[in-house]
Amino acid sequence: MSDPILELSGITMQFGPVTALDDVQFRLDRGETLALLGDNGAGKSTLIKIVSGYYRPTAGRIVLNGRPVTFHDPQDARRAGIETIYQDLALFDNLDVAANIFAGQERVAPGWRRLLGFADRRSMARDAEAAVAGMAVTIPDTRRAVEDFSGGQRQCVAIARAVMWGREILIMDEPTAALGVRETQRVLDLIRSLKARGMSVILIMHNIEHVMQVATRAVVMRSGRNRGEVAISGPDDAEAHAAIVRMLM
Amino acid sequence: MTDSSALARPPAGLRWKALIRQREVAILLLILIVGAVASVLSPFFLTWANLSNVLIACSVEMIVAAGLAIVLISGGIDLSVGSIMGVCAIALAIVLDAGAPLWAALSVCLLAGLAFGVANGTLIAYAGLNPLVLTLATMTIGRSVVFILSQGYSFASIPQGFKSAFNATPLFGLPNLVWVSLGVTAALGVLLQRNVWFRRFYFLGGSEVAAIRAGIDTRRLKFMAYVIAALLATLAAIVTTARLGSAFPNTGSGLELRVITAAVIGGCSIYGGKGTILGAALGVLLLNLINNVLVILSLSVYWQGVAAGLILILAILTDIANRRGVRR
Repeated sequence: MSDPILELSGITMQFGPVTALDDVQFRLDRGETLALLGDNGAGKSTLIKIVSGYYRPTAGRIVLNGRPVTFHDPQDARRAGIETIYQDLALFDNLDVAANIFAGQERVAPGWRRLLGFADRRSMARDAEAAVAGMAVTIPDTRRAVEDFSGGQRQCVAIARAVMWGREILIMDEPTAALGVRETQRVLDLIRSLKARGMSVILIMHNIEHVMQVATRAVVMRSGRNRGEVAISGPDDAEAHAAIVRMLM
Repeated sequence: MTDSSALARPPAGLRWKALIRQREVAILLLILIVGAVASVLSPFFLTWANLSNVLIACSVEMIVAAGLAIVLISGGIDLSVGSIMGVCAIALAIVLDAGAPLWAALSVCLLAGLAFGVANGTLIAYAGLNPLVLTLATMTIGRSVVFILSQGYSFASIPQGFKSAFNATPLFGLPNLVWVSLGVTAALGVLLQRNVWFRRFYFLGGSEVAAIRAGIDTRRLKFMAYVIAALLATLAAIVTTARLGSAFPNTGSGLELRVITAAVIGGCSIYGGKGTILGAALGVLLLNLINNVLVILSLSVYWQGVAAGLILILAILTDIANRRGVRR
């Protein structure tokens, strides 16, 4: 029983003579954690860039929450509730958690301070604290500049920002790449906790073990086409693991 | 420099250590140490006359430093502020010398400063030129314009009313120009920490990509940084002309490097995103204090550059040390 939040059908993307995507179908169900796999050049990134508004497909339909949509730019997609977290995380290393979460949309304080355009630092700090408090990764001091944070804590801040602004769909590009073993486990916990929050997540991941640990479904692409998909019942689902490997080979 | 930005306050449980890491506190301590040593070595140091001289000497540089701090925090640099000061001072004095009323002279001065700021801002923010190279060019052009306008002469026919407006000493024996400088520095310092629009300079300097993604109009912000710096250089020109009662072709010459040195000593990062106006102002105070101490101890003032350079090296070394201590 599927309840799609996002559905792409007949997606074709051409860059000049090159066909990057050829009649691709893609479905993301509400509240699921989906892993998107495939070799380099399989079309994962192009597909994700279409979903996040960077590219407009040459042909095809995007249906979000049952309504057909067209994204003109990334801001459009973000407004529609789709946030993409790239490997660089787009954080402000020099600033604390609250500033990172409220960047560009800082609250103005009430009363006389409004006249001077003063930021409501206390309320933003409080809400930032609350936003990261419920996450699987703990941040000891949210008033520190995020450059002092570990990879997992930085992911946490980027995710908290997306959650705070009411994004329903989260796309994460290689969230476990370049992390140590312990940090990787923390980030996987973090991704699992997103499911509990009802977020719909698309993960671009190369590591099949990581996929098995967090995803409930894997979609494999190859040469710009759908290769197939597998439901994953849990980390020990050997059958699913074998199927993914088979499709990647 | 991990804790220099007041947006990123020191961590709990480690406060006193973090406090020392705060550049503003470190510079303040250094100022107190230099002051203490100087007052032991010379009976003239701790006199009101001497201290007010230090403050007067700081005033002009502090105004320029406030603008430069904003530019540095935004991730840019402005080498042209000294030349802008020169152009504005000469323009002001020439128009007054021609017998025009004060308001006309001030308008010309302001327009000249604004023109430089808009040119810098447009070429850097909208045409995408490198700020170091571009402001090197406008610095050169500006100084040349000063000589073209002045033909190498100084202009000293400044009206008495204008001079006394800045030199009158209504409060604690300090001239108005000190209060103007402190007022401007304090107001901009508070705005930069608190005001939603000014705070965006920290976002811009922290990560331009992230700022764009957060929906901030980074180009306009960048543009405004250079306009603000130029307008503050203009104010500095007005203040220095009133103080000295004349404008010289070399007014503001070399000031940009002294002020950049002071700002970096005070915690502004040349990579952007870090620093405060308070820190930059304290950097100016420290350098002027050292200058003053060399003079009253009858040591050669030529050592000032050595002292400033060594403190600058010390400042960036502590940055690296702090970074190592904090990371993981």
